[in-house]
Amino acid sequence: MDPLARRPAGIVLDTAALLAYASGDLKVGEIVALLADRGESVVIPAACLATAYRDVDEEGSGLLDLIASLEHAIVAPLTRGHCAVAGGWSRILGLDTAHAAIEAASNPVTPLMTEHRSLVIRFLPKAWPIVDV
Amino acid sequence: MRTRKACYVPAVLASSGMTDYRRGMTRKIAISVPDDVAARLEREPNVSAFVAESVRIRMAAESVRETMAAAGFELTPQGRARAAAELDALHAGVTPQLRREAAELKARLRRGQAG
Repeated sequence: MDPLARRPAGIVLDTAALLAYASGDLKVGEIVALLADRGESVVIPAACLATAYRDVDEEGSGLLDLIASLEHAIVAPLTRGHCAVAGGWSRILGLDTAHAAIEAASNPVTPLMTEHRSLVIRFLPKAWPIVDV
Repeated sequence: MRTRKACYVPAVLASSGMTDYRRGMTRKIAISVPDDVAARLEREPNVSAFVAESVRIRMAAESVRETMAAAGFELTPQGRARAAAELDALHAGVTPQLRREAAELKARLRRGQAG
């Protein structure tokens, strides 16, 4: 296996974080670059990436292409084993944010970048590390 | 800081006419490293693999910064410091209690029972 594929998860980006990045938000960009420096990965839930593509223009779409192709980015699929939980959580969070919360919880206490802090902590432990968009 | 000669083996491939290196091929090189780095490397069962992986991470980081800069992100040392401070503060706030809760949640996720 490529050693880079074994990088620990450094952050999970939800749709809002991806949209902020796609609009040129430097805060997201700095975090993405920092995690590359640290040898950690940026986890992009596929449901969030798809939702972000829905909401961006051509320029933003190009930036989403770029972030998903970075060497330390992992586009995480929504797996069969998580579908039941994703469905339940999506009643409150929406499917994309539910997928992001699941990805955060599936790794060892991985920070989640989101604009839905108050909703997400209904499902994750209250002290979960969250970066507000 | 002092440096210590970690190893020295002359490159041999060039003399054999193999000049077209591809990823996966290897070449022996001599490097000098500080004492603390040498001490760390001495704990590795496969020093070459450890060094290669470390350098590849550095190469990937350089590539990421170049790619993002080309896309118009004006990354700065100050911005990097702010990002590092925010993430480090979050990690510092991870308590053993949170780790236990996270492990329990992860186990429930595996069973599909985290409703």
